[in-house]
Amino acid sequence: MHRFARSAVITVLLIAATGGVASTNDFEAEARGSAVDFYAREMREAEQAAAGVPLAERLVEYRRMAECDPLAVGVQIDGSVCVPLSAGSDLSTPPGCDGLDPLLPVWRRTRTSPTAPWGPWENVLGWTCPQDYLTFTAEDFRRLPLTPAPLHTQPPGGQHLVNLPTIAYTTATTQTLTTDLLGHPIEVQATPTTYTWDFGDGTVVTTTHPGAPYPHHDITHTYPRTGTWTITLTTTWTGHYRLTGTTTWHPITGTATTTTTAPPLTTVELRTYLVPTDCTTNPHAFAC
Amino acid sequence: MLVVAVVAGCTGEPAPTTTLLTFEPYTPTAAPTPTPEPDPDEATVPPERPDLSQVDAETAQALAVYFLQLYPYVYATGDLTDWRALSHPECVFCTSVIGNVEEMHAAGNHSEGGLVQVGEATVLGGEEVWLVSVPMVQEPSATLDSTGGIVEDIPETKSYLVDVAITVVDGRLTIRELTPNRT
Repeated sequence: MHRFARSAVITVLLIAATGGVASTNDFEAEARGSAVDFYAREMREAEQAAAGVPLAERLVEYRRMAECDPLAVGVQIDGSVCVPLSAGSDLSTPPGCDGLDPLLPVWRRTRTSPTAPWGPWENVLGWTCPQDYLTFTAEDFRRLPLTPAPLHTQPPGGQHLVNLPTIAYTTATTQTLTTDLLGHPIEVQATPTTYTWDFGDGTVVTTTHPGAPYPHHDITHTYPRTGTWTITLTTTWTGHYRLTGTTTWHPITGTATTTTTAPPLTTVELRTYLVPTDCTTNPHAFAC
Repeated sequence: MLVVAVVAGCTGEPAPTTTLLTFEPYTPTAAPTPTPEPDPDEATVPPERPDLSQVDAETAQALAVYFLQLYPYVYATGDLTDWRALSHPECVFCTSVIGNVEEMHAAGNHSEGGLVQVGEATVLGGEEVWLVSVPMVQEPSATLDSTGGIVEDIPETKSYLVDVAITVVDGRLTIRELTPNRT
């Protein structure tokens, strides 16, 4: 390895001669993602998945708490003792998080069946900063109770005539919802971007405009035969979110959809007949 | 000895035609000049592969340590077989290494040295995901061209705390991301 001690001098000459060198075999020079952020996001998802199971049936439980001291004799948290931290783990110092509150360390315990006793609490994540991994995901977006885009038809349900166009449109607009990410309130903006109109007879049309009522209508469908149809509108929403109190909107990667169904439409055929009297006032007259 | 080597490099050789300097070990002129034995480079010896067939915290720890030890080996040899097999496709660090190693070896270069010494690792574990933190020291290293000329040189010994995220893909542990933090 004496080679390296001597070559230090040569490097200086080399940089002077070429103005730079290729990066290589150097941990610091490699591109990298954040292993901790990835792991913290995984823990958050596991936490949410576990919380989705009814308490009595849960086989794994996560809890955020500052500490769980295994040395305090007799101290148990909800029937579980704490597993001592492995060497090198340090939960003593919450990080400074640029004005946001740090997130508590995460502990996890399991049991083999709903009637079995819980195992001990194990630390699975230390203190973290919310902004490091507070990402509002497409899955989060899809879980939001978005108000479906209203679907209007003209004529509005009931019967209509064969071979005359049926108009469809929606009055969907951007909606703002509030929810939270790990206890941090956030605002989410959902904007309708594409509309898929399924006219129920096999005709499906996708548009980026919401349509309009008569006489400015642009989305119509003409049923060429009689029948009863259900028109369904599937709206695709894109979203942005921001931590409440901050000003920067972040785009959500991925979309959410809502569906709306209009009351059934029946297409009827009307034939003209020559009748001797007014069928409205005398519906039982001949030929009525 | 340092000074002499540089003087020999600057005055005893014709001006290099490329931007690469050729390193010639200093040999006294009075002595016969046998070709010096090349240093056997330990980085070309593959690290011992642990049993990675289990899916548990111990195996995750063994995988993290093995993967770090594989780092100088892939740069020295260009053999990325095991590195690729253990890397998740979305692992940014893993992919960076693959690109850099391929580029280095395509240019006819290779790396020497840079052996990795690891300290005691700690593991945090959830369900099929682990975070292993490994204290690590990397020895100096150099990149050489096919004639032994030095292309780049990292003379320092560097210390890191490396965070390694490990997940399970098709029933096998896989490196999902690796983040070196200088200590």
